[in-house]
Order: sequence, then structure tokens, then C-alpha cells
Amino acid sequence: MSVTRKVWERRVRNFWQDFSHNRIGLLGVAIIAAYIVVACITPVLAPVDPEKRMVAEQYAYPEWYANLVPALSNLPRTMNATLSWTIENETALPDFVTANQVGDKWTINYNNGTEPVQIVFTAKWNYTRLSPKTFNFLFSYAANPGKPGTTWWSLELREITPVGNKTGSWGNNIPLWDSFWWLYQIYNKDVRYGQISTYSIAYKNWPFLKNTQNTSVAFCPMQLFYRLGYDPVEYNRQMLPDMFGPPGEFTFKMYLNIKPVAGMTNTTCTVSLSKFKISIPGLVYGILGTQVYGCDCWSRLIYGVRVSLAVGLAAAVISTSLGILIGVVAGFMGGALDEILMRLVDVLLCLPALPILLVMVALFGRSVWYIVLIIAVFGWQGLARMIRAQTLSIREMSFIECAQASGGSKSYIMTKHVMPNIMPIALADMVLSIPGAIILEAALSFIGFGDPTTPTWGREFNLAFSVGSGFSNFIWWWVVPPGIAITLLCLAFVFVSHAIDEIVNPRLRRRR
Amino acid sequence: MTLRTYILKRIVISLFILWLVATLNFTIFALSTGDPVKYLLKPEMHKEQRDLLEKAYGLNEPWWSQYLKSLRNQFSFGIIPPYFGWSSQTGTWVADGLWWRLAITVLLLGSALIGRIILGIPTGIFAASKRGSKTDVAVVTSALFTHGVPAFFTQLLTVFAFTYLLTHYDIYVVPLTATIDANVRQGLSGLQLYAQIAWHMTLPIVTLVLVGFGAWALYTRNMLIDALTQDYVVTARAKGLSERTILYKHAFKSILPPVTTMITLAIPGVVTGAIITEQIFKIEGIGTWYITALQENIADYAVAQAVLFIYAALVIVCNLIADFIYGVLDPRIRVGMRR
Repeated sequence: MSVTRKVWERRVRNFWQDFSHNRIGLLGVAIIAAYIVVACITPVLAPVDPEKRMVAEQYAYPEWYANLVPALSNLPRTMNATLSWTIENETALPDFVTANQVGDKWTINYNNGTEPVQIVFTAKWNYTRLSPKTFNFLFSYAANPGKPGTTWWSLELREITPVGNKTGSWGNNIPLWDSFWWLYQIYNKDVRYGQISTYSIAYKNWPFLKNTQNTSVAFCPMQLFYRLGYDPVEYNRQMLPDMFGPPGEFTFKMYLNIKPVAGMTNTTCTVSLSKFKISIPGLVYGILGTQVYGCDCWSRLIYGVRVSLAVGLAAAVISTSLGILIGVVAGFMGGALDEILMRLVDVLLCLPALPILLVMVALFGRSVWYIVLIIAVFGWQGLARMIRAQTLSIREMSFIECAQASGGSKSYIMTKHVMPNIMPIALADMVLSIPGAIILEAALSFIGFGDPTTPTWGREFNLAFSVGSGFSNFIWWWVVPPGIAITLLCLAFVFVSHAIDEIVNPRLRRRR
Repeated sequence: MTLRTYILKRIVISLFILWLVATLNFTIFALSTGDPVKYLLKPEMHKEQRDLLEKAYGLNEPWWSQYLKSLRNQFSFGIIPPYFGWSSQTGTWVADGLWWRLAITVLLLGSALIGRIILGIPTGIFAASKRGSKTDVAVVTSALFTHGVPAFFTQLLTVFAFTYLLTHYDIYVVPLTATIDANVRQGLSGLQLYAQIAWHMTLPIVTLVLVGFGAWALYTRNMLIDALTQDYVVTARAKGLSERTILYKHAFKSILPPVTTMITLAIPGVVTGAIITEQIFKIEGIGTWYITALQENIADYAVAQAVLFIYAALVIVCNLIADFIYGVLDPRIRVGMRR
């Protein structure tokens, strides 16, 4: 055992000595090491969730680029504001209504009231920018009628611009404006993309309005996310005067109506309301800006490193192991087994990689690990053939004969004598097969057959290409960085395998 | 073993492999959970209509009957009935939509392959003749680069750059997609149409050549350098032959068999390598068809099966031809087989 280890130690040392003189190989190793470090500290490097939408406006410029180009330097950044409500008619409230502010939320108690009451919350907001493309209003509310069916309540939000335009955003009243090109997305704050329901302008369909009758509602965050559709001209004509006219002091009013149901006794109701949060996504964001959905490009780039590395390494390791196993067994055992295995290799070699991968993915599933498995299962044939040829020549050597004469079993000879001798070639082939696997996965994702839930580089290409506006608007920070990243990674592996090839393949070395 | 028995044996083995491929082709689709009838079914259809469709596609039959049907479809080669089967997508024989798409793909990738060879092999010879110089290093580095850079990224960047020129500066260089407008197509005739098609394929072909010729150059260079270190080259030098004569008459001639094999083996790639390029440049070729057929809501498995079968058959035939050419070109093998 210790002798074997010594032999291996010497081999590794010799190999490293040769390798450390190879400049291009060292460059490759350095690049790969950098990628691995990035993959390990991904959450530190990219704290933003890569799938989170609208972290900034769609196609926001990278921060450093905006600072560099004078024309872009005045573009707004993301703006967040939290407004506190004050009750406008607090003194005029009847006795049976009490209003308490605890922490950042108001709690209104309606206690055995006999007549309807309206409580008006007000919040003021200074907004000095021109009207945004997207805005985000967020607040939470809860309601708890003491006994179901005794009270009726509703909430309504209104906005008053500095010049006095009034806009009812949502509520039981019909909105004052009715612009059909606006896209409404109303969803709970923590629901991820994929489950967001998109509602049309028909305010009657808004889901939460159904809760406002007389049932109890848990404290739920409510987000009003308005994103302008497509027409900037219409947008300026309609949206500017309506919601974000000239800059100045904006007023938000929340009307809380509570009324007893006729003929009921014991009419109680508790309604809570949180602070009002406003967020307006900026046109400049982060290290690499944003893409079409307003996701952070930098985050997606960094998370892609993990996936690509994992795919490349896993596929290469699995396919190389398969290749070694099948090659050695076929070469050493010979006979019918050899014939069967080699026919299998022939068949698999006839099937081109990408088309067969497409079939398998289309028919059986799209998870990343499944793709890795398919790449591996359809990628070992070439290596197996090579290993078999090597094994055939090794089998005739005298040390194998020695081992057989000393009574070594077939499996012992294969694992202890044949495999160590073919390891260098297999290793070089493994490193060389990594970029192939990475590119194959990227190509698959690019065509749209990749894993739709994992942030991969190929998916970015697919999105950029299918959306099209990434191309016509020249959103280079979206398309170019993933390409450069994948190129560098593949090049690094090609460099390393080139170097290994020169060391373990004496014929190539003589050539220099 | 004579050359004839060798070739005969190879043909028999190839047919056997083709049968195995066809079986695998059937197995994959038989094991899948996809439903080819689903696309044809409308919600308002009755149960009887569904049964009728399933009967038409033979889905109710036992597996061996389906297998035989599949074999008959595949081995029709599209020239005899049942013409590769019935396409649920177009409602015609698969072969009807196959040949013109195949022609487009072959035109695209065939010209790209010729371009790569014409550009790559001379570059390789040039690099080998200046072994160790800066030119050589440049060729090797660029070849390694083309190996590492995904082809589709290069193509995307090209599209990206030209789109930018078009939308921001109104500079029209080449067509960005290979589809010809129907109105334009009607107004043209004969030679003009072919010229238009060629013009629309400029960008994909040029990018394919640029991306791929490095590998050819590297391969030729390595083979040539290997040949140039052989003893007979030393003898030729000693005889006082010019470097040019040594390079072309001795060294290059000796690497002709492997290079020819290489070219033959690259021919199947003319059909298989098209999928991504066709997607990027929106070419109505065989790759686009294949991808459409595999979409979940279409599931036109007859088309997918036919395309896969053609791919495999091409690989097998080209392997056979490569073996044959090698046997004819390389005297060592020819003599060895006579013995």
C-alpha cells in the first residue's frame, strides 16, 4: 500500500513539475481557480436574488457606466419612501370608534356602533422627479369583524397630485381614470415570479376586493405594482397629468368605511393598517444593470458560474468514469462482452449529441441534473473506444502476465494494474470534455430546452434573443458578460487540457 | 482478407448498427410520456374521435406491432411508402416536408464546410511551414480560441452588432435573417431567386466559417508537423530538395489520407450542426423543423424520428465511405488487407 502511494506521490510530483513550466496551462488553472472561488462565495458576491423581478427599472444602466457617460449621469436611482398615516378626522370620530397607533401600524376599533363612520388617513410625500415608468405602492392591512355578518367595511386609496388631480387607485369606487394599456399586477409581496397572477384593467376582478365584505382577513401585505405597457407617448400624455404630474407634494388618502349591518346587534370590527411604502425603480442600478424583467444582471451572471461549473464537472466526471469502466472491461475481458459493448459504442457514436439531447430532454424532463446525466450518458463512447485500445496493448505487457501468474483475479488486475496506467489519458480527456459539456448545456438552454428554474447563461441568451429588444436597444450589459464568462471558462479548460496533453502525450512534446 | 470482403463485412455491420439505431429510436419515443394525439385533439371532440385518432396513429396496438410499423417508417428512407410516416403537424407525409428543408440546411452548412476547408487547410500548411514563428503561435492560439468560444455566442454577437448598426445608425450591411420576404420572393425568378437566397445566407455562412476554420487549421498543422519530423523528410532535405517540394510533394501527400477521412467524417455535421445556427438566423431548415416537432404541444414524433434516423444513417454511410477511402488511399492498409 505504502509503495503504491509513493509511486503515486512521485507521479503527481513529476506531473506538477512539468505542468508548472507550462505557462498556458497555469493561466488556465488560475482562471478555473478564480471561477471556483466565485462559485463558493456566490451569495456574498451577489446578494440580490437572481430571480427577483423589478429590482430596478427594465434595462437599467450599470452604475459605473452611467457615471462614465455624461448624458446618463443624471438618471434617477431606485427610490424608496415610507410614509406614516395621520388620521385627518381624529377629533370628529364618534365615541364608539377608537384609533391607536402602535409601532408602525394603526388599529381602529369599532365597538357596538350604530351608524356608519368614515376614517380618513392622510400621508404626504414630496416627489421631485418626473413621472416614472413603474411604481410600487405597498401596505398591509387586516380586518377582523367581531362577529361575522354584523359589520361591513372597505378600504379605498386615493392620490392627490400637487395640482389637484385626484386618482382613486383601488377601492370600491370606480377608478377615476380608466386607461386600458396599463398592466396591473397585484400579488403578495413574497410570491415569486411564476405564481404572479396578472389581472386586466377590470377592477372588479381584483381579488382582494372580495375580502372586504364582512369576513376576517389576516394581516396581509398588499402590493400595487403598476407597470406601463408599451407606448411612451400615450404614457406621457395620460400618466403624467393623472398620477405624477408636476413634481411637488403628493397626498395619499386612505378612506376606511365601517358601517353596521341593519338590524344587527353586537357590531364590532377591528381594522389595522400599516405604513405606506413607495418604491420607484431607478434607471441606473448595480454593477451590470438589469435586463428585460428588471432582474439584476450581475446576480444572474454570478449564479450562472455555479451552474456551469457544476454541469461541466459533473458531466465530465460521470462520462469519464463510464468510459474508463466500459473501456477497461471491454478491452480486458474480450470475447462476447467486448463485442456487445463495442456495438453499443458504435450505435451511440452514430447519434449526434445535440439532437439526441434535445429528444431526451423534450421527452423525459428538464431539470439541470437530468441534463447533466444525459450529457454524461451520451458522452463516453469516444473515450471508451480509446481506453479499450490502450487496455488491449497493456494486457499484452509482461507485468500483467506476472500478476496473472501470481494468482491475481481479473477484477484485481483491472483496478490495480490496468486502470492506473490509463489514468493520465483519461484525465486529459476528462478536462477536454468539460467545455463541451458546458457549451452543450448552454446551447440547450439557448434553444429553450434548458431548466426553466435555474439561472444559467444559456437562459439569458435565450431570453435576450427571444425578447429581441435586448438586441435592438443594444443592452450590451445583458448579453455580452455571460458570453465572455462562458468563453473564458471554456478557454481555461481547453488550455489546461492542452497542457496535460503535452505532458502525458510524448509524441506531442517531441513536436515542440 | 481482400478489400472486397472487408468492405462487405463493413456494410453488413453498418446495416446491423442502423437497425440498432432504429430500434433505439423507437424505444426512446415509446418510453416517453408525451402524447402525439394531444395536439390534434380539440376540447369539443368526442371520445370516439379520440379513439379514431389513436387507431390512426396505431397507439392502441401491442408494442411489437408498433415496433414493426416504426421500422417500416424508418427504413422507407422517405422514397417509398410510408415515406417516414405521417406528420401530425402538417397532415402530410413526413418526406413531403423533409426534402426542401434538407436542401436548405445542406446549402447552408455545405457551403460553410467548404469554406472552412478552403480557408483552414492552407492556413494549417502555412503555419506548419513557419513552425515556431509568431504566425504559427497566432494560428494555434486562434484555433484554441475557436475551440473554446461557443459558436452560438459568436453568431449572437454578430447579429447584435449588425442590429445595432441598423437601428441606431441606419447602416444596412447584410440581411440579419435568412428568410426572404414573400413579396420579394414572388417578384423574382430563377437565377435572381438563387442570388437572393445566397445573399441572405451570407451572414450565417461567414460566421460558421470563421468559427470553425481554426480547428481545421490546427489539425492540418499538427499532422504536417508530425510528418515533417519523419526520417524521409530528413532524407529529402539531405538530397537538397527545396522546402516547397518537401512540404507539398512529401509531407502534405503523406497526410492526405487522414485529411480526406476527416473531411468525410465532417459531412454528417453538415446536417446535424445546423440546429442553433438555424435558430439564430431564423432559417427554415431541418434543425428548426426538428425543434418544432419536439415542442411539448406539438409532439410530432414521426418527424423527430425521421430526422434522427437520417442523422444516424448519414453518420454510418460517411463512416463507411471514410473506411473505403482510407483503404484506397493508404497503400499500407491496401497491402495489409491483401496479405
